[in-house]
Amino acid sequence: MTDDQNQLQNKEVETIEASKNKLKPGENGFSLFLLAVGLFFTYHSLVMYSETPGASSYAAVPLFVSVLVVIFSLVNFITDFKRSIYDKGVSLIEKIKQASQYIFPKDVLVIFSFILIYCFLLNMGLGFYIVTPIFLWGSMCYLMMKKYLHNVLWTALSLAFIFIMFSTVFKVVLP
Amino acid sequence: MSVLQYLLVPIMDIHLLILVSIGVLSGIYIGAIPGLSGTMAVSLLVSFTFGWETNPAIALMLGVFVGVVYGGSRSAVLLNIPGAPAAVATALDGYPMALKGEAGRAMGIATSQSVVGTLIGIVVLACFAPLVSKLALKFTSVDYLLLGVMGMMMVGSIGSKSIFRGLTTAAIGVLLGTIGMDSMTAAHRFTFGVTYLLPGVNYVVAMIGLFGIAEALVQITTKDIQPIKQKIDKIVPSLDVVKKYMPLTVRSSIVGVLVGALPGAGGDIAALLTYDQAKRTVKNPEVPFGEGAVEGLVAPEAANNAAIGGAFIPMLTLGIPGDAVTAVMIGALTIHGLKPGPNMMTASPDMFYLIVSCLFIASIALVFFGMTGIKIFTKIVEIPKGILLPIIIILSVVGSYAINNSLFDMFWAIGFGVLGYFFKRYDYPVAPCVLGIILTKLLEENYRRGILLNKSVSGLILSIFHSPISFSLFALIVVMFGTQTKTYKKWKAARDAKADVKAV
Repeated sequence: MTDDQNQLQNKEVETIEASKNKLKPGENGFSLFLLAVGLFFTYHSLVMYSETPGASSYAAVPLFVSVLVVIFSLVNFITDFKRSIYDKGVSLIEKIKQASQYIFPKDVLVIFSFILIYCFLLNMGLGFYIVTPIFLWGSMCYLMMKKYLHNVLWTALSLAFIFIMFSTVFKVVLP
Repeated sequence: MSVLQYLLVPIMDIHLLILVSIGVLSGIYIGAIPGLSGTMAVSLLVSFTFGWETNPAIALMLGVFVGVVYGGSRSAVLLNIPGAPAAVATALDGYPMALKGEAGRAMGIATSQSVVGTLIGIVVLACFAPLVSKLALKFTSVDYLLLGVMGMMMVGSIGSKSIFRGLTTAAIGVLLGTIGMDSMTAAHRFTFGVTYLLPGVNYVVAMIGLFGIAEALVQITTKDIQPIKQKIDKIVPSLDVVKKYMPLTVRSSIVGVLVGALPGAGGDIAALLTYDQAKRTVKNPEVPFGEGAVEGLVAPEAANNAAIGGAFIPMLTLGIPGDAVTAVMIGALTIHGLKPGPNMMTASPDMFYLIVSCLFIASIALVFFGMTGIKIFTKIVEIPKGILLPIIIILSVVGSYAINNSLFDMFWAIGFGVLGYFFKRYDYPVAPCVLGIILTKLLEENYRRGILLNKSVSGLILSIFHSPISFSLFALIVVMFGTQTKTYKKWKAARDAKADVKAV
């Protein structure tokens, strides 16, 4: 094998290795977020534990587990950080941009907004059988981008199913 | 009357046969909908059958119970959304099978295993009920704690990028499980003055959010991928297939009955424990675990249905419910003038054997209804995602609301949905988080009881060596932990390689 072929093969191996180890956009940030969550709960557990110290205290398990969250998140963060060498040369702003595009693609963002609006309207007391068909039909039309009449049928079927199962059979008083 | 005569009463009564069958059929569909639980269905039947005679009322409830436990596997396999906590482990290998177009095969296997599991549970209930209940009564708080730890060991069995990711989500699950009012001291934990947080996190709500809503959000990112055409020509597993997995089925069913017989531990814990046990003990599965291994479906499905028979053991012999459904059934029997407890087998042997017999009929009905409805169910996967995903979201939202008729639970489910979405997008397994929430109560209450009884942590540890049950469980944990280490895995790989060379 010539030197050129060797170099080419080494490069290929490196590329495969890099793609295997490549972090998903925002992956390291998520480990950091979990670390922050762990620290937040550890602080509050410590406050509780200081009020009633002891192995059988109501704060003993939360304290122990929140410390574990911190430790495990730290391990994840360090592991991810080591892998982030493959992202060298990418600016922080670019990384944030990539992360938000990865975790919140347009479709997810739109449907998630629909869910939030749906819950908000339910909480406002607008009524399940008014808000639900709007959510179902709206989401179906957005995701399918066509077949508006067809979606009306699916919405009606779904509502009929929910009505029979939850309201009629199980007597659930829907909001 | 002899035992055989008692057992034949429901089998000869066409009215009871029909009621059990109706119960199983409706139970399968109820169980497949996240948020509709067996407890809810049986509670509803208590009021519905209030004016009925005892036998038909109990027959219908038993049919629903068996159907619901099995039904949870349907949505777990097809949509990666377990219909009930007992089907969480089923989703781990069932859903990958559906992704390969093998949903029909997966559900056929789940049905056969559920039937065998139920039958083994019935045999143990009928033959060894007093013995098993005596053993279950010997379980101390330390034993329950060790059982919880064994459940947590399953984290290592759930495939993810690294074990630390599984441990992180499991720890977060336990942490979330501690939110709310402490059951022993009524102290408020992480409630920050919000009264809605006092009841804590309902694990079914967490499961609906982490699996249902999160899965729907993740699948939106792949909405344009065409649904997989499911192969439905070979649904019924051959006798050879059933025979091949029989040792695992029997092993898992026995664990299922024993765990089911422990008050407070049910099919959900049994299924998770046996999945872990299967992963450790099965050598060279045809497909790796987590990627559609049949063994990963066999173990939890046999165990969660076997736990039904187990749950009836403490109920019928001691008057202690084995799980939430049997707790409701104690109420139902009391309404009908019966007293489940130590005298039941002598005072009302007819009722004891009626339950055994109805469970048997239910398992036979499960063969028919479990195998026949599969073609309709598999069509669900073929519905375009643009239609299916909004329906899943709404069913998840309504399901979480229906548990306590609470809008707050709905918000919890959405919160868990977002958390689960992040977990899934960044390759953190969600099952350990649900496992953590499920096991928190078992772990924490028994740890604190153990400390109070043994005065200190060291006392608690030493008490393990004073009881044969505790010591056996501890030894099992040591073995489970040992088999997860790199050293053991290297040694095992070297040993297998040597064996292969010798064989050649």
